[in-house]
Amino acid sequence: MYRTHKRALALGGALIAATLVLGSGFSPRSAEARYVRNATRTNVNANVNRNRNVNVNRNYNVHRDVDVDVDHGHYHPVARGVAFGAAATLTAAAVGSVVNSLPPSCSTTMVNGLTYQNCGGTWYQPRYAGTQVNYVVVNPPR
Amino acid sequence: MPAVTVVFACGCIHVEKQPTVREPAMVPASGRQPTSRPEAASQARTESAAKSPAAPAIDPAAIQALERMGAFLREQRSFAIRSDTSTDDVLDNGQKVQFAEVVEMWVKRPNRMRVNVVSDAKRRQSFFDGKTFTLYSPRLGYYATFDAPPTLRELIDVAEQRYNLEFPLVDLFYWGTDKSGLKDIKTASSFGRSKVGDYDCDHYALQQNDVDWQIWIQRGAQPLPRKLVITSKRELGQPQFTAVLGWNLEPKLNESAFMFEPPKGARRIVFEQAQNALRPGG
Repeated sequence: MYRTHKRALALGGALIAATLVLGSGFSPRSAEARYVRNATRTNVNANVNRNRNVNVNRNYNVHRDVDVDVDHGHYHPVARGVAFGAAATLTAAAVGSVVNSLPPSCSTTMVNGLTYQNCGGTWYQPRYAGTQVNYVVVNPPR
Repeated sequence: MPAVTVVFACGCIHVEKQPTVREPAMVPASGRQPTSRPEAASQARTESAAKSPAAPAIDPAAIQALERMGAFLREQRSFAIRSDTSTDDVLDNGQKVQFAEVVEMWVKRPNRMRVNVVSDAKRRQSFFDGKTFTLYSPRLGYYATFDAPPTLRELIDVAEQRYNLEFPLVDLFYWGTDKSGLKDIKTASSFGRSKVGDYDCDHYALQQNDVDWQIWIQRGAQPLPRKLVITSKRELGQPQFTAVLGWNLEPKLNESAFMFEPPKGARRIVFEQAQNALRPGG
């Protein structure tokens, strides 16, 4: 179960990884459907003192900074090899969907001081979920 | 015990397969006496009675050592740390692989902190100058900020509760405080002298509900944690986190190290707020 829901994050430390999503009010299934799974999810405690905030549960969805930068000195074939393919299948992405990486060929636009990515007409807003960058599909900003 | 926590927190409907027992984690603190802690011991005994007739013990010397370390950490007004960490990742095929990361942290109490995290997968820098908190991804060029509370202690709570940001090695900021978590310890054992690199340490092992952990505390006048191993024993494969810590208790800290100036080309993004995440729109 812990593989599919919960929230998470982690600054570095827990560091390797981070993110994932969801929360209550969602059945596991719909929550799952909203996210592209491109990595393993391991819940590794990087601190002994946890659960201070009972609302937060941590899952570490390991993925790399694969989006804008192309610094791929290292490769994780099993866990991360499908990142781009998975994202690409999400073409007609519904507003509110979240992906961990962008499809190829996006252009960056700043609107009201915030960053958006226009990927073939689908607009994504990058954001930090914890320390992990992910992208939520949004209506065209104005 | 994460999953259970979520049940209580949000009334989620999807945790039915998790053990629904709320652990008796909250053993009364009962003061700070590093003595036998009978309630904790008996609590632990009850829990494990089915499996083992042996009563788990809390070695008072171990608790005492943790308290002494915590008090020493509290005394440090500024410090710098370099942590060489490795974290297990359990793949979908069950294989456990280990990834390395270096965390550097510069702290000046009560209200300055800078963190650099470098791993194979990602880089992050965070800046806290007493007013603003910024998280920056040098390779992606993204940064986000929020107005920070005035002290580190408060920042750590706000970051975690509002933005789901957990600082690395956050235990260092809790040990020696009323949030030390020592009351969560079910068993504590001492293994005596052990070297961590060049440092002569004492080795302790602790058990809590969802983690077992070990700590190596430097001997002598500076009881610093030199090594930490945390085993997530409720997770498939029991992945571990290991950190070996280098300390500088007299760092030269330049004020500019704590301030973020967006580099050319850096782009501002947003933080997902925890409350929103619990109620995703749509």
